[in-house]
Amino acid sequence: MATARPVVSIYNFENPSEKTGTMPMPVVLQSPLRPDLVREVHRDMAKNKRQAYAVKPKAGYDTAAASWCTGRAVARIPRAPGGGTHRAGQAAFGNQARGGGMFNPTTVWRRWHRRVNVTKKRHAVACALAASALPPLVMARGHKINQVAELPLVVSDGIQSLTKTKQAKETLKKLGCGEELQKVIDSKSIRAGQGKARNRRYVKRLGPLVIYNEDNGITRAMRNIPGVECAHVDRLNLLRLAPGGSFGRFVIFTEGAFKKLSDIYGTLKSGAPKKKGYTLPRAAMANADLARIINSTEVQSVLRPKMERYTHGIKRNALKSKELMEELNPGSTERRAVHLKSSQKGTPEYDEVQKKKKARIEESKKYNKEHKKGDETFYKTLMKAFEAKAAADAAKKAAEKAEDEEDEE
Amino acid sequence: MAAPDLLWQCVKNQSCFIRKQKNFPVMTAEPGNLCGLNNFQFSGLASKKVLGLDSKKVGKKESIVLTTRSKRESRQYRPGVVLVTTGIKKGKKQGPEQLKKIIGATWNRPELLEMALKKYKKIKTSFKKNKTVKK
Repeated sequence: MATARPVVSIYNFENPSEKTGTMPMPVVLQSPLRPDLVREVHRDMAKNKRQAYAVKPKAGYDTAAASWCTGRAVARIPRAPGGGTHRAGQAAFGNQARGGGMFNPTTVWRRWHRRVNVTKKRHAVACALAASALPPLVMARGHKINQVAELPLVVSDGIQSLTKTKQAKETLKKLGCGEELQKVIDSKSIRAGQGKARNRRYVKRLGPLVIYNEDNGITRAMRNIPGVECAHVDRLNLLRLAPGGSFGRFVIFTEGAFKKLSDIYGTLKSGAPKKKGYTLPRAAMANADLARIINSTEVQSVLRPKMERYTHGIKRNALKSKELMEELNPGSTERRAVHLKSSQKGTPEYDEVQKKKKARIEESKKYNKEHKKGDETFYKTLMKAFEAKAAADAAKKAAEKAEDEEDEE
Repeated sequence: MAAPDLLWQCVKNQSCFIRKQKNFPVMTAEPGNLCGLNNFQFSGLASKKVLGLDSKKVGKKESIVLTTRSKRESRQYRPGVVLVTTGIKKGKKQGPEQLKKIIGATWNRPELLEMALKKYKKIKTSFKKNKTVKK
């Protein structure tokens, strides 16, 4: 968001339809949205409140059982010693034995808690705060905010001095949270699962989170309203800002708290005054609006013109399709037509062909008459060559015979 | 307001409006979604320009309501006011005319105009059914 910071109105807690002032939005609320980071940090942070559970260390092994070894027609598993009870001779130890220990007993020294880097935690909180300022995300998380005047919702400081729950409820309803509060009340149901027998009988949805700066009674006023939670600005908890790992909690700020956000987190340039060595996260992309980037003049002016997509129709074979042949080889149909006609008697093409043929034959005859006469006829030249060869062969034979006679002598 | 693409990435898998069924495209119940499909194109949460057409029943009166997103910067952070609803006339000619005017002429998602007209027809026929049942 390189644009100027939007201005947020502050609503009068007594009369929420009127505004008591405005404030520029703190830079925290414009942090980049990182659902993956929030999910990851929440996952690890949520493990930190766990209480250990395990089976007793001796579970299943508190007998003097020993194996009977071989030779007694029983399996070799350790058996309980002694006599006089059913228990004697029964299998013991081993996960397969009745009354034996479990496979891989759960231990207390399981790594229950997770360390999360401080910077990561801070980034996650910043991100969750930013998400709480965006209506689509808050809606998507399931909060009913259609009656809410504005997000982020900032209320004048008077609300911090509320002492009565009745008043607090009235104020929230006037601020437009009525639907949300009703949603929480309607959602109360008995928990599915064993939790109901373990002092966790009911479940209900979460409502708004009220973030205050000075507690002059507000926590006590708000705490009995189903779904409403309170938090001090200095001590924001990701587990409350992004319950279940999903960011976009409906948050109500008091004026003092909203102001303090700037004091705590500062800006990207200044760093966070109240958090040593910490600067708010920077977005990987300053402008994530892809549509705008693509359609911007800077990009459009440098693009080459859109290529004509060559869409292949059905492939045609030029040798079979006369149309295609004509396209590729103009004049081929004409030539073919001429060729056909030239074998039909009576057409001028036929006469053409015959004329040419005659001329050719005439030429040939003329040539032969001139050049192939007397001794130059085919037959004569053939015989001449033959006789020449025959004479040569005869001479060769005679020469060989003479040589043989000489050798014999 | 955050970029539409970014918002979509946040919301596409994680939204209270998503409704899933087996062997069926993923749907959403959010306001401002024309087809009810969980798509970036149709998303009523993520995009800057939103188009929704629904039937609304108040008591005995049935009406067709068009939902669009206000373009004013100041309204983007006001959840109650950001989505603007307009009633669409039920007349055979007048209704589609009105839709064409609002959607097509003002460049408010003109590519969805055809779909909106189709949906309008469907909504109207759904009203008809009720009337015959009343007999």
